[in-house]
Amino acid sequence: MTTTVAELAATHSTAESYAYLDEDTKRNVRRAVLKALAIPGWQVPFASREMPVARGWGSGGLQVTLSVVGPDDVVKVIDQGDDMSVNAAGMRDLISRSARCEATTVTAEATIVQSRHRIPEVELRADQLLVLQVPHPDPLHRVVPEEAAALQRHAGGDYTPAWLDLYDAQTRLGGPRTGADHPVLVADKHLMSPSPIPRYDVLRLDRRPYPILLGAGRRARLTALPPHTTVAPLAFDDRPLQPEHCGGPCARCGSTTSYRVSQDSGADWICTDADACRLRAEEETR
Amino acid sequence: MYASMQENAALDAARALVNQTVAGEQIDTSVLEEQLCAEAGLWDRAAARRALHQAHGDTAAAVAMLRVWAATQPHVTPEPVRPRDVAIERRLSSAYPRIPGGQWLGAARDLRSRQLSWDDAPASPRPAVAPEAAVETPPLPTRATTSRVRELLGGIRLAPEPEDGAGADPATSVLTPPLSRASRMSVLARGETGALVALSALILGRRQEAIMMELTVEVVAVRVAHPRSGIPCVIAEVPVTQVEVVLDADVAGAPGLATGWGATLGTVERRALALALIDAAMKADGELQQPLLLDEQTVIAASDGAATNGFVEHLRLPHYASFAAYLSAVSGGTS
Repeated sequence: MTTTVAELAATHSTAESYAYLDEDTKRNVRRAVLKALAIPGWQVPFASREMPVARGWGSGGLQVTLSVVGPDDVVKVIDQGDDMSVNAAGMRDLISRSARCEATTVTAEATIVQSRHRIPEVELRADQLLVLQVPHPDPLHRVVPEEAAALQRHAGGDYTPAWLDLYDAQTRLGGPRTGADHPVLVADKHLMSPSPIPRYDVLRLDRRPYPILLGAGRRARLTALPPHTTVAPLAFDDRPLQPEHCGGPCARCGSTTSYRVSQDSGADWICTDADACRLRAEEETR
Repeated sequence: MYASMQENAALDAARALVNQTVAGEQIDTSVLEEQLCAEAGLWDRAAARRALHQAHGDTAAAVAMLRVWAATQPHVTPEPVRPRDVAIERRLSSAYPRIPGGQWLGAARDLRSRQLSWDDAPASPRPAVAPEAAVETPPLPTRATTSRVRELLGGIRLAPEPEDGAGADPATSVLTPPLSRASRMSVLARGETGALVALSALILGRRQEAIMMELTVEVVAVRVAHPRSGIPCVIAEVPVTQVEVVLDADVAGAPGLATGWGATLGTVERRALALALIDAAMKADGELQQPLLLDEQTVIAASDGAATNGFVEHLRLPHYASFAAYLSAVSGGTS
């Protein structure tokens, strides 16, 4: 009697592993996390797996979260600051279901916050972990397209091409041409992509009390910022990086200091961090 | 009506919509048929299914068969499509959360699970409501009553638009270089899906900013002048996907944006996304445009379908926060 692979798989397929990933993959990711923590800002390769989200949709962040999550954790996932965005909600469900842990939208309650394109505005504590989803882990890629050459630059801490590019933008355009994803110098040593967070968030990365793990699934790289690491945006001393200018207070909570985006390129500005906005609005009504 | 990809009842309805299975068919090839039609430059799903069967599932051979068959058929020239004949079924923007006319989720295939099920029962039972009842919605908005999201980009420096005219039909004419943009677009519109995605993933990997301004899935009524009366009559209703993107661009020495447009027959959205990215990259000028070298890392980056598809399709995710950051830099916020 012949048996097809599909039949074998159908009869032997067990329920999925705890926290979705098999233990070997988790071990591999954890090893990369430890290495990344030991060399802040350094891009550590890891065996990135195909995940049930498309590559480029947060597969890196998801693998990091699933490798460190435990049953006592409380997980929050945000997309551009928003908990209810479909992709974020899908990943939150996958994590909390497969790791049998709690999920939340309240930043202060979470033990692990996975985020795309924002640093939560409610400051995280030392006992919390931030996981960022990264599309382009190497900030040198645009100026040094060849990967081997870029690696050599990183190893030698030689960021001349990035500085020259910045100088060129300064003289020709009057400022850096990066919108989001402005490169940062970590511990005065390694140039790192902070993921496409706005400049507002880039300026909030210095010496935080909590660790940040940055996962780039498509490019199979992991980067880490241990707590209290110095993080400075790549900028000339007399030309500091400026945060974005918002056109008005938040229409919901009235904040003038949060990061806000225009709803329709018009006059209506809204906080992108939904939880921080909700807290401020509640404070207001109290 | 639906705004900014949020978990709500509309989403559950959309999920039920995409998880419907075609009754009586063992293997659902509906999306593949659409892709074959788009690559053949011909809308006939029954012919595509037939070609796929006769080619034993070889998609390239099936496309070739369709083109060979189409070459023997008479060609008629339809009227230009009228905006009010374009009914919009699905509309998304990654640039702004609130767009005039609203975002409509429609059938969003992203919502399908990516995990292979070994359960032999149908992937998802049909929703309790009969499809006919579910379809009972208010009349679809048309292109005539829906403005383009790109119109919100007032005050931003844009790369100049090339002179446009009617392009030549690659099915009936010999195109000689240099091609006009319209002719180029009509050739690319029949491009092989994988090739288009690979090219656009390479482009995307080398840009600083790429935002999907608007994606619409539409049903377009095609009209042909009646041979006797000359009145334009509807002869077919064809699904079309249109995408508009913006890429960062050097406009007269200052940072700005280049717009790009892509359209494909059917609803394989990554085709339209890829076409729009290629169009925008060819419009953008200046030193940000990098030559593509056929080196090892380029070859490898372009060839993993799972990675390039995911990368190109991630443009559908909201980019509200990062796009605002770029607009702020472009409009002089860095001074």
